[in-house]
Amino acid sequence: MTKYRSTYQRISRRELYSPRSVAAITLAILVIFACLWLMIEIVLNLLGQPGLLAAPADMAGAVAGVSSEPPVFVGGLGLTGALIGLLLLVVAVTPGRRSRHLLETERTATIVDNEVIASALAREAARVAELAPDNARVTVTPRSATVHLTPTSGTAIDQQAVLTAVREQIDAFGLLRSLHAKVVVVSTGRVGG
Amino acid sequence: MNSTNRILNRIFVFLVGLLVLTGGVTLALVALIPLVRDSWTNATRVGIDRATRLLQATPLPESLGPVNGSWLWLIALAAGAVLSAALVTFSLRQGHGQTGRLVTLNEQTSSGAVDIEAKVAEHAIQEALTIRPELVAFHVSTYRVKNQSALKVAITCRRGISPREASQIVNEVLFSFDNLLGLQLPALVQIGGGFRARTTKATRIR
Repeated sequence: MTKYRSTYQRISRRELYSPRSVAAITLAILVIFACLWLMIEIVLNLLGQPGLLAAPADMAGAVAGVSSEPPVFVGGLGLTGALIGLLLLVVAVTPGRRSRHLLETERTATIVDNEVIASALAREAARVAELAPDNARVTVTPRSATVHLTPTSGTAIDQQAVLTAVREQIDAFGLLRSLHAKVVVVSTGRVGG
Repeated sequence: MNSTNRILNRIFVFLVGLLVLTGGVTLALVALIPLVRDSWTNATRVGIDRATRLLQATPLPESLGPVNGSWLWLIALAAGAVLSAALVTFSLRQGHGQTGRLVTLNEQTSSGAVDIEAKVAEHAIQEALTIRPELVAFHVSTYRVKNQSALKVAITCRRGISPREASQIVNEVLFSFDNLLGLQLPALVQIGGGFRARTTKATRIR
């Protein structure tokens, strides 16, 4: 990672955080349609034709008439708008970390989906706990990995051994931001699990 | 890895959000506070009056036949067209940045330069990865990052494969390709799960 340090930093950062393209493109399409509609209304108005939905004069009248509409309706509309606006501001400002992790390597910038980490840990946990692979479920967040184990009814699981194995695995992965491991054994077992 | 302008995306979302928030808050204030409601009624009446007078004072020439009204509408149309065009360009510019050229060598010499196409790297690396049973799928592409070609190797592992193992497999291939090429290009390895990984069996390899 030494030769192209800044390139790798740029690539890693861009892979780890959302570009917010979906939000931006969706909004752009909505604005484009609104623009086209307004333009059609203006052209129809210039030609002296009735508007599609409302002529410009009607629109102005509607905006002015807002104050005489029932306050509950207008207030509700306003609050909904305010909430949507606030949500968009949050989308624009928050980092939007994707569910991925960086892996330490010398030659490349390596990025791993949480899903892959989870499935590797689940396999290891199931092997150590002597369970079928489907009875180990792992959730990976930016900081932690939680292993949920469903034991076979009537048998005990060596939680400590599973925890140690999972921790070793996480260390072996060499994640740039290490994960805090947790093991949860579900209290209801499964017959023949 | 692509050349999407993320700052622009965020600025655009922020501006639209600010606009919607302002509109919503205004509506809510008009509905809930009587004082604001009265001033809203006055302000809109004055505004509409003024706009009507302005539109009447700027008529289009008579010769245009069925078209009549203010020429200010034409300016509004032009503004709308420009805004739409800008937003279409903005949307279509997302996600580009792939390149067809890997490197150009010997540019300074008089004997001619050597272009190596990105396909060389893509095919060579993909060919080397096909024999690995750990991988369900892979795709190699080349992007232009910081004025230089960078390889992106996206792989989908079989369920339960350690990401370290997967990364080592790709690293080995990349090192051999470096030897083949005679120089080292920056590379991104993306290890993904995805639908194909979920539907394949967690078979034991080795």
